[in-house]
Amino acid sequence: MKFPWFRRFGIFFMPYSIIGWILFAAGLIYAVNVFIDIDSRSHSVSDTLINFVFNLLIIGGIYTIIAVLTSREIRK
Amino acid sequence: MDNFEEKLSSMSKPEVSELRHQEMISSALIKAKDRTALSFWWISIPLYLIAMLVMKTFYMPESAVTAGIRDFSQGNMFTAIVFFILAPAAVIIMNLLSIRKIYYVSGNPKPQKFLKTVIINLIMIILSVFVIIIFLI
Repeated sequence: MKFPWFRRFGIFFMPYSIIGWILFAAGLIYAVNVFIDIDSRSHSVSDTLINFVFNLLIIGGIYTIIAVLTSREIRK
Repeated sequence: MDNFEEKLSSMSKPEVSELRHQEMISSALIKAKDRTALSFWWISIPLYLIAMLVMKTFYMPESAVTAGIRDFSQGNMFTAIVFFILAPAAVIIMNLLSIRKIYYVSGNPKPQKFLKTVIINLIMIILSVFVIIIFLI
């Protein structure tokens, strides 16, 4: 496999290769899905946002673990 | 003999464009920054929960942050241990290893310069300790 998949900009990891973009899109689609699910069950805007931000941070944390592990070139 | 002198004059000293040591320092610094970004994401989860509980105490004065954390951990024991103990502990270990590596690779760095380099790692460690203390109170 060809590394790196991601490049770091501050605390964010941006996709650098096609696999990186696929993972980024998957994370984004999952986040939107979570938002729709929470919104359908919540009673107010603040209820939606409080629960969504918590889930978004978890998604961001998992995405960052993958990005950190795949953001360096493997030396021969 | 002339030929030899010509050869000698055309010969140049072997040059190393980049020092191995320099490469080690930059690699250690890049790794430390990557780990800081990872630490930021994972420590922001318990900090977010604590911030929500603080806001709750602001609007509902009869509630307390520690009581809120206790309620949360009773309902979600596994999640609470992961976010309030395991993640901060991992962040502390990761940042301590980064600081140690930078210290050894830098040789004998001046305290002020060294502190400036690892200040964000230290902040991450302090925040992690804060999260663990809040959970264990």
